[in-house]
Amino acid sequence: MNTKIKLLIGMFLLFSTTANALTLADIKNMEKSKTPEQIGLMIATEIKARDTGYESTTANLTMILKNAYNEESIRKIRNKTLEVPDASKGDKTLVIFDEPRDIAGTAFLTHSNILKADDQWLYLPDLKRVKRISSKSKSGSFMGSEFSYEDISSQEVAKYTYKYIAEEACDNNIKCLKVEAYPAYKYSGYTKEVLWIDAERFIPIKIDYYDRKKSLLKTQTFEGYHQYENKYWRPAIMVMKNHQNNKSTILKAENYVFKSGLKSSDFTKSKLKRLR
Amino acid sequence: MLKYIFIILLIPQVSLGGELRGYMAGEISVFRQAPQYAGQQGTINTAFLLQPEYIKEQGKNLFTVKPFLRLDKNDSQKSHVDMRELSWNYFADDWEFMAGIGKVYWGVVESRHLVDIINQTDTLETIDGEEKLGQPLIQIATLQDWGTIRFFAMPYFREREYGGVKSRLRTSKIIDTDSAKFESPLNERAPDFAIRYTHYIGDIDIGLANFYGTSREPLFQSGTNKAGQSVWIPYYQRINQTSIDVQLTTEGWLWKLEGITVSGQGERFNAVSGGVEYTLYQLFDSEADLGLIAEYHRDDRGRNAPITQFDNDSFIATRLAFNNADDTQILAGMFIDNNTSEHTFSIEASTRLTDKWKVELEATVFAGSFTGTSGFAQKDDFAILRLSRYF
Repeated sequence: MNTKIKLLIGMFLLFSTTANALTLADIKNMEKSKTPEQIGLMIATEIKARDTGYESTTANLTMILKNAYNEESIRKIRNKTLEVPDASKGDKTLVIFDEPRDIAGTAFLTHSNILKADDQWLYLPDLKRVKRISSKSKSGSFMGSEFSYEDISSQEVAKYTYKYIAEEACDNNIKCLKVEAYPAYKYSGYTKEVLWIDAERFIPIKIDYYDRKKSLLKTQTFEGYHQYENKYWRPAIMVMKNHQNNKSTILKAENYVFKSGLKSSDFTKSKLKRLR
Repeated sequence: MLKYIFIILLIPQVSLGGELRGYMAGEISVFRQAPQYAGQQGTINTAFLLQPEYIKEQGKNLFTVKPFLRLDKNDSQKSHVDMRELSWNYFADDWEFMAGIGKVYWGVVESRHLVDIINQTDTLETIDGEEKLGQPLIQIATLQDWGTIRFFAMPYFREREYGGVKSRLRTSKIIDTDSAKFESPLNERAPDFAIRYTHYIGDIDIGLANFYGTSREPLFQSGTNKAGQSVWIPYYQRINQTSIDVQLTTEGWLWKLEGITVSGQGERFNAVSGGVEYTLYQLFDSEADLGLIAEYHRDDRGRNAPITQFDNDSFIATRLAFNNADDTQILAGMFIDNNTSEHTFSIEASTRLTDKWKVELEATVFAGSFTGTSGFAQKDDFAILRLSRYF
């Protein structure tokens, strides 16, 4: 009896996930019955739904900062992320710097919020000081790179309102969904983000960022996607090109580990002092 | 020369694994005026600094070795070696243990480190109180949902170091550290104990602490040294200090407050330090952030307590962070003694030159009437240029 119920529930779950997975054909069918805003939200929800359940990840990141004269500067970062299932809250992240060497061991703890400033603590290893910092401006440069705090913070559905534009081919003949996202956070550095979403895998291929004056500021491209745990797609390389100052940053991610066993208690202010 | 230093430093890393980091630096300091007191060094000095740190993580254990060295060309009293850290940490899920020599920081205020008491200040290194001597200690912490409690036991006291005859920024009478006296008959072996609770609720971070032990600041008593010269003799009292430090973080504003109440140095006294820091983000559409800091210090200690320069003082400063690839920063500030009208201006600027080289400039100017506690420094305006190579 018990086994039968379990089997039934299992089949139901299997059926429901298959039924819920949004496809390009579904979107095409909806174009007449739903508004572009409704479709945009459905796409954003689908992106998030396909990326939930990873619990926590760790990865090693390398940033290559290039200025307009192609001079390079390197950042090396250890990144830890904790998925927060509550949709009204953002994820928790820890970043620890290894390079440049003068800030080796410096760590950032972020408890991200959707519509207000994140809670953020900075650990200065030489002073052994943990400092709560103001994070009102999420649009500032991260480590002098072309990525802002906003760009690397956790992506949550409620951080934007959406509008579906059209199906549009991306490079390499990938079928993409073009969606506009409008930040809800009042101190966001952007007025609009234009996303090209892979219509099959529901992952971003390209994002255009428009500044507060509504001019094109940056373009982010995602390359070398790899699927982990048969579910989660992560890019090996992200390139952020700034069109206004001609600088660019290449962000390489390596050694992804999913369900790494990290707990909420590992993302607390007191634990910052343990990091080296 | 540098090559050989690197090779020697790399020996533990190669043989034991773990990680080596740190810096070596060359420093030029320039004093604007000829010295005030006989025997003090002239206007230009150079120094070499080295601070390697070896870290080895093994499961839940962390081992740290971090020595510090300064070789000063003109002033042998300022040349010193200190073991900043030599410790074993054990990190369990909700508790931790540490034994050895270490450093502990408490507090939130920028211009005075009022509640920060575990480590002795390394007064030979800086006048801002941010460099500390390594403190032998045992620490046990419990990390809970309702906050963190840390217990500290310190078996050995580190005396404050002071410059000698040759040193700038000294009092006219030398402080004779060799004759230091203690209230406790156990001298520097009298154990110190402390307990600290920290937590955060929403936008508020709070710390409460109690310290019982030898005061990190000495009282100065008039005396004569073995050569028969008149000197200051440091006298270390036993104190009980209870403290609070709070920070409220709202959008661009940080509101900070520290308070202490101390018994054991004459009549019980109280002191508070507090202020605000406001940040203007992306100034004039650039990537730069401008921080504005205003802090106030009040200290009602009596004559049987160590002298303080923070009896009734204000501090204002601006911090400009360029948020560029080289992490260029400038902090310019001014202390105002509201009683004596003494002013101290200081500026600190730093930038990376490459990913491994960094240059820092620090300058301080003492101005005003010089009737107060810092009158001894009136001819000691200085600038320090430091070039560091990180590894």
